[in-house]
Amino acid sequence: MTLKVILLTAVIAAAGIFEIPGMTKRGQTREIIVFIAIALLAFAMGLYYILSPHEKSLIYYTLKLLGLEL
Amino acid sequence: MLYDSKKISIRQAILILLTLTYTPTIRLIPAYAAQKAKQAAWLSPIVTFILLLLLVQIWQAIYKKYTNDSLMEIYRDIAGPVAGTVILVAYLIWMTVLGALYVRYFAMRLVGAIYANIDISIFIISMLAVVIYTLNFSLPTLARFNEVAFPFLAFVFCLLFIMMIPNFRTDFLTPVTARCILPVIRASVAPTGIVAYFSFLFIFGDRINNKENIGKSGLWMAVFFALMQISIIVSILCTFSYRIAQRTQLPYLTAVKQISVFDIFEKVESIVVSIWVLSDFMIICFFIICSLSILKSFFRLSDTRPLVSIYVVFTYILCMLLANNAFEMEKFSEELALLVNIILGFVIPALMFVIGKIRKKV
Repeated sequence: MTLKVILLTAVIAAAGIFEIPGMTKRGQTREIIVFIAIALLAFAMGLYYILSPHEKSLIYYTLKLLGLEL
Repeated sequence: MLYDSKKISIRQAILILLTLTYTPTIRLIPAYAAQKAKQAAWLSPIVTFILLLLLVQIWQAIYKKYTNDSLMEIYRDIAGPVAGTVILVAYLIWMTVLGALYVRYFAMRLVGAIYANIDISIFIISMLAVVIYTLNFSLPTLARFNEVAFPFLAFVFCLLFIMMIPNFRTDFLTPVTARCILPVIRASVAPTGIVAYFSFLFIFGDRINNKENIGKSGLWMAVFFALMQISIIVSILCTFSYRIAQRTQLPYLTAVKQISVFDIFEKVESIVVSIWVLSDFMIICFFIICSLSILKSFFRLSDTRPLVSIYVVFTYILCMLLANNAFEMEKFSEELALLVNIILGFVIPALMFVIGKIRKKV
């Protein structure tokens, strides 16, 4: 589990290291903000996925919310 | 219209659509249509054909006024900034979900059809790596790649259909009576839900040239869709009958497995899997381009290429959270996804057209 969290952090950090300097150089502030927002969302979701592996799926909750039986 | 190297033509856009719809068509339509309309299932694409022609006319009329705009700009102008933005948030969520859903379907199908007991992450990561690489180039690159891939896909599809003919029993397609009309309309939900992706093309409509030819290219596309969908349903119904088709998972693949030409040419299902992967690749790229285009419009971004890698990572995590098994995904596609596709692909464009007419914007 710890290894997976490290891997997730490394992948997201690698994407940031690879893309953010270019965006900073081009003065793309909006792009950087959107990038960080997606990265944080991905990290939070990834963490949830790793820490609760036996949790029900998003489709399960969606169908249940709409009253559709699985 | 002047040539622009950053844009693609409407013909190229439609070819992309034809390639990407191949995968959901063979996965979803035959079993769904057989369930709803039984032996008359093969007639359901005719209903879709009529609806698609109407949709093409709607977009043709809209693009007479908004020649260089994307779907987002059109909706905001017609519905107003607040209502337009609310609708576009729904589009963004749906494009994101569909992108993740197709990534998951791609891997689940490979594991289900050929590579049993292999971790799906291996296939997903390989596919997404190729997607990141491709999307770092521009849309015309993808369109040109598709121009090469599409004839191959069409050729293989025709070849497989011809090779399936010796196994056909045409009596499985009858009887068809007036009582089949309602079931056929119900069965047409599946093909209609898939051709609704036509409207999603205009999410990057500002990067499509020659939109004045939507009517002409659209007619050609609707005919192709109808023929492809009828051929797929006919090939499955004639091989198994609707009773087996409605209960079989991946019936097209099973029908292809029956092919044997003079007992020499057999086991051709690997060809189906290869064109399936090709179509999956196009559909994943398509939905990621759609999502990034909506984000670009929302936040007035100058370029979305730096966001591709992180968005793909996000898609990977979402696809893992989305479902626990194939059964859930099938249920989701049949019960919800088709309906939402029809609402976002048919109903909302039609509503926008009517509102545009009332407000004299179209």
